Amino acid sequence: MVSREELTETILAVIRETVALKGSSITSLTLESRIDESLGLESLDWAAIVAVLEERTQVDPFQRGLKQELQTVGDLVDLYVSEINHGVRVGESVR
Amino acid sequence: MIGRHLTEGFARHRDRIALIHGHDQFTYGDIGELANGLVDAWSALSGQRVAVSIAAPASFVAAIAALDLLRSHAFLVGARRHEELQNLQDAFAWDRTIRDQDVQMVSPVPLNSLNSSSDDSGLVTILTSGTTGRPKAIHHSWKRLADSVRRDARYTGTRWLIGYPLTLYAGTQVLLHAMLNWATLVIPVSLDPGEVCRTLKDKGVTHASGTPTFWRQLVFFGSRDVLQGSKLEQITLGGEAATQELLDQLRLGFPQARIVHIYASTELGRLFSVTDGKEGFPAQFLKESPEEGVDLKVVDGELMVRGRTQMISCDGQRPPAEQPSVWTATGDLVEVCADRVLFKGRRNDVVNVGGRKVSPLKVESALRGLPGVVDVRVYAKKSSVTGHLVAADVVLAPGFSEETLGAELRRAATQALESYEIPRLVRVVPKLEISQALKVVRSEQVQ
Repeated sequence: MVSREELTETILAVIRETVALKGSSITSLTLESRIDESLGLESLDWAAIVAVLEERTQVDPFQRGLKQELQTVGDLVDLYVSEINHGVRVGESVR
Repeated sequence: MIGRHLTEGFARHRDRIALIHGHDQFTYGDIGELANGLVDAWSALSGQRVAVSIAAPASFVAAIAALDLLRSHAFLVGARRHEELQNLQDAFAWDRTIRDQDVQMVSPVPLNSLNSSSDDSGLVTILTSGTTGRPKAIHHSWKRLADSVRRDARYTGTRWLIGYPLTLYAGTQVLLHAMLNWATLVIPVSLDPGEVCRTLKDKGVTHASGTPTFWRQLVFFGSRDVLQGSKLEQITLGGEAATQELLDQLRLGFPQARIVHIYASTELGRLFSVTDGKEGFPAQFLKESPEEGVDLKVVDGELMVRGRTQMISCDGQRPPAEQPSVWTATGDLVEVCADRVLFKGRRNDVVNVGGRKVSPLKVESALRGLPGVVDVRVYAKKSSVTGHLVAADVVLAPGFSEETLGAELRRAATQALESYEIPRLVRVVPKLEISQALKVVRSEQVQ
């Protein structure tokens, strides 16, 4: 089982890598950072982050559609924690 | 056809070298006499459907010549694992499989006893190089395949290096070109650029054929000195779109060579060639037939062809192009830019990002010019958020690091591409995923 701390670290690392791929850097990235363009990331970048996280965590909560509003990086971590706690892996059927 | 040709020209050409593979070389006499021995040994295969699963090139050529003389129907399946062969046999129901050992146990027989009076031609089935699912079986006759080969006395004694497997359509074309012109077919033991370079130099190769991927690897990883000192008179590209940057590099690296880009497919055969060193083909080809009996047009951005075909049938179906009035979709997306028609990629390779279509070729072309980028493969990666994302695998030259790539890539991409076309997922890989036919694989969701 992946801990919340490990998951948080993975998500923050993937966000940083995505920002770096765009040729920029982030001075401050915390759970309170907002998921909007303040990090310099567009919607396609967030789609890429979800795809990379799927490879690293084996889960993709967005496959089931989004039921809650995501505003901060902390919300994103909560979403993945909740998905992993459901024990749903990519490719498994979801009822 | 191939069998009759080899046996009839035997007296004049028996001492000429037909084939070089690594350290081995075989004369036309060696191959003709082995084929003759096989005709005697395999008389029971006459008229049968026979799978040719042979790895050794000389054995392969002798076997297809013998099967042609026996009027058998040869299925060029190549050396494969037992299970894979079994699956193909279930699908295509051939009568017998011949392997390397079936040729090795037969002794050559002097050629003066051979009966080659018939004008008939054996059938040959080539499997498409499809990277996913079951390959398609395309049926040809040796005679029709040989009809598109230009025969010219100046080719006699030239040396043709083949950058394709012998069992695929492009491979059979190079094989027939060499054999029908009494030239020497040179088969490197591997398609590793170092090995190809050594073979070019050591074997005095004059003509070489391969996919743009084959040539790109050779230009980047081959020894510059060897390439510049080569005796290449002709470079032939086929199977993929040749980009301007590659054509320019070949022109620079081989200033003395004629560069020919052939447009052909297993199903449609050879349609036309371009030799002016520019990517795509002249828009004039849409108005005037590029070659006798071949017409081209563009419908909804896709290249359509009409005209002769070498194929007899495909998986038992008569080919639509058999009727001269029928247009066949090629699956190649093109764009007419002034006096040129440019390839934009395969219809199936287009990446759909939230409803906007991205051409992998366009993105690859934008990234290839970056410092340190040897090659790049752009493909669709499924996304639960946008449908698909543009993903890229990049091969870096020695001395370049992944760290510097991201920013460089982004900067170049931003200048040349729309935001939705820029690869959002980028991996640095040691080499690109390449199909058996040495083409870049762009199938979706490659992990």
